[in-house]
Amino acid sequence: MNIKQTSIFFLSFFCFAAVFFASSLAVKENREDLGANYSLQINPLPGKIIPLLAGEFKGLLADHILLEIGAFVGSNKKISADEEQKIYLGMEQAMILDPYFMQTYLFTQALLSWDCKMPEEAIRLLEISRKHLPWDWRPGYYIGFDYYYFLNDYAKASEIFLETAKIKNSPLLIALLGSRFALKSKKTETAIILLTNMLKDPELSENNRESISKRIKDLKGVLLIESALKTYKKTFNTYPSSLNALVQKGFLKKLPLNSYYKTYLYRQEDGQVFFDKTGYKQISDQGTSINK
Amino acid sequence: MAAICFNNISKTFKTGFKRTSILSGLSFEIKQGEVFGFLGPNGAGKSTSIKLLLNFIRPDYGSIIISGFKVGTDKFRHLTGYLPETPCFYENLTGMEHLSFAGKSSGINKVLLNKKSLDILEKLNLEKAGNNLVRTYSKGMKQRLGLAMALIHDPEIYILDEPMSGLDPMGRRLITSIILNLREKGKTVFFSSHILNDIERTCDQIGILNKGKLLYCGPVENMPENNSGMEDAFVSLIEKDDMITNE
Amino acid sequence: MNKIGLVAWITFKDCIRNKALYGIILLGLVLFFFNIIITGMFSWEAGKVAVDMGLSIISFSGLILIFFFSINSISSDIYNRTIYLILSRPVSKAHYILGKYTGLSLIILLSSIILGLCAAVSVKLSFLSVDRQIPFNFSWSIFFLSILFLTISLLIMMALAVFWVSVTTHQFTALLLTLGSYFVGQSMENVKNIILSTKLFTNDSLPVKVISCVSWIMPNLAAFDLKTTAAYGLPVNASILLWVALYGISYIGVVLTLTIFIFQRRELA
Repeated sequence: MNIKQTSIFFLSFFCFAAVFFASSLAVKENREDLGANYSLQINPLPGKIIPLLAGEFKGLLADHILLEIGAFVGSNKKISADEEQKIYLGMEQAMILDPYFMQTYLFTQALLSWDCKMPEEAIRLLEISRKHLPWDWRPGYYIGFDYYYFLNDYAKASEIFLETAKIKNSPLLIALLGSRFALKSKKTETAIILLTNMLKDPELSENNRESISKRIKDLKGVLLIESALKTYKKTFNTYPSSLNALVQKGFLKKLPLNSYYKTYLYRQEDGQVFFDKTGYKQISDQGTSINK
Repeated sequence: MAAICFNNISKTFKTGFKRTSILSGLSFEIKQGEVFGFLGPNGAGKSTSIKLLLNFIRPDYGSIIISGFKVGTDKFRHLTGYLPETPCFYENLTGMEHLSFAGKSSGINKVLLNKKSLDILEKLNLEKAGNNLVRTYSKGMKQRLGLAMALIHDPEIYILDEPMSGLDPMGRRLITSIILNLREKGKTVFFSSHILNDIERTCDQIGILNKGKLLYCGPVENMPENNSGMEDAFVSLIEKDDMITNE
Repeated sequence: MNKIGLVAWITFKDCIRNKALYGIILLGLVLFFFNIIITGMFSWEAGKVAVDMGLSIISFSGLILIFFFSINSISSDIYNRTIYLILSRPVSKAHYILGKYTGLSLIILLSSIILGLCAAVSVKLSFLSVDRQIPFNFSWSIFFLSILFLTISLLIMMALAVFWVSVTTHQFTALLLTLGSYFVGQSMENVKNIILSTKLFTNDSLPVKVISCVSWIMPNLAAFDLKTTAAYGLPVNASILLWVALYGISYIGVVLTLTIFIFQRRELA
């Protein structure tokens, strides 16, 4: 290289570098603003198409989508309705790409059910997990929870809980909750049958056995009182003012005792029987909220 | 003024951590209008010398002057025509397009170029293949097209790297006749070869290179031990040198 | 200038007659049919999907052209020694680099134009079939602007590809480095945002500093991505776009001058 070439080189290099420096500063500043409302990039393909395109990189793509969604939610930005749809689409893609990934259903529950308030969509995706992970009780537990907490569908919740309770090593809580919801959806008998079956499991710990037996006893008490109430209603065309009336009028020999309170709780308006206060309160709250 | 002048050229290549010397202290001169044959066994450093001449690589030491221009700093490429060893072309271009690039880049005007290209192609028996893609050419045709590209701008100095290698006798005769033709026109030709016959027929001067050193430089007739033919002289020269360096 | 044009011309002509190029263009066209099919599967915002897909296909084909075609074109010049034919003429290495870059860029431009028109057609078709789903505020000018910026980002990648091929001694190394540059350029900004959003790192922690440094060396390709803007018809800020364009062009200039500088020192044994 001679002097002329060298000088041309340095001149052009510095010109370009100077322009680059200036424009880079401008772009950076502009992108900083953009960073503040960092947008969620989810490929708008339907979930079913994605595996075709992902080829052997399904897992990797699923991880990427989860990361993208996680980063977006993590930025603490308010999520718009449009972005909720995007999150749902992304979660669906991730779920279809890798239905075995635990992170995916945990995210689904946390983001879709709680943050986006899209329980039905969440349940749809969680069902995929539940189908693929028959040994894992969590997806079923979340589905049941969503039915109960967000959708107030006790029948469905209890059905799913009781189904999930059959999975080995699932926490006892699921069976207990399932039976509780069964009560509310007037499926007490189903719950009793299921719990009795669980008692047959030889690996059941002593503590759990005791809890289950207690719950069976409570449910049986409820069943007993309910049938007495039914006959009472048929005879007098109204519910009694208190449970004691059932004994006084000879519909029951004596009131059964439950494991929490000595007597069962009772609401006259609709003839509902409860074995503890929480159940009583929740049903009342729900009643008022529905009225509203 | 010398057409080509090597001044004390040394070149080493790095292979891993080792440095191998290819040329050491190479100096010689080719006068204007001479046909110079550059001889040597494989690996002697012929190709390296030619790459140095064209500034594809740079010497560690020393300088090369072509017609008064220093290689590496001055611009004189319009003065030289180069034929690489086994030339490679753009397979999807035609012979004519290659020639047109060669001509235009050397500053020949368009009107003249077309006629010139056709002339040269005819001279090299390529007139029928001129508009075919190079992909369809045989090895000999490629070699001839390479030569056509070296000839197109009618330079003063020709640098031909193994121009006869891999050619059939017909092709070799054609190239020999072209070199002789250039000599008649008073052009300088510098070519490397290991085919001694061709060199004997065409060269005014030869240089014999072995292991990066020039063993002989001068007319063919003056070669030592030239009594029993050039081949024997060449072999004994190389063997002697190998014995010395091995000791 | 004339000599750069000559090198560009033979490069362009050689590439345009390469069958591999037709393969890539064909792939692009097949993807457009795919685009129409996929768009049909959408119940919401099909128009947006069509725009998104169309632009992505242009980008994708361009990247394939760069990674497999351009890198190969230069490295085979060097390793088959076709470059000797060029450099033995009164053509300098700078002419060669600039000529090659121009020739290969012309190929990219051509592919962007052809595929861009195809994209426009497929988008138009998807609008016709589901006319109520034209994205709010969609405008063709933003659509074509987005193709333009996408092409600029491809040209940046091309400059980086030329750089890596000229600097490394092996085609595969060059391919990997170009691929790496692409991913860094694309995700640099996202990575920074993610790191900052976790709130585990502050602005002057080491990872953030490293990324800031990298952002001065590698191009921020995310800035050229107007796909979302085009798909949703979001408003564009002319002065910002101008800066982005200038940013891209000056980056190409810096990379190419550096390439020439290094290539001039390289021995072509």
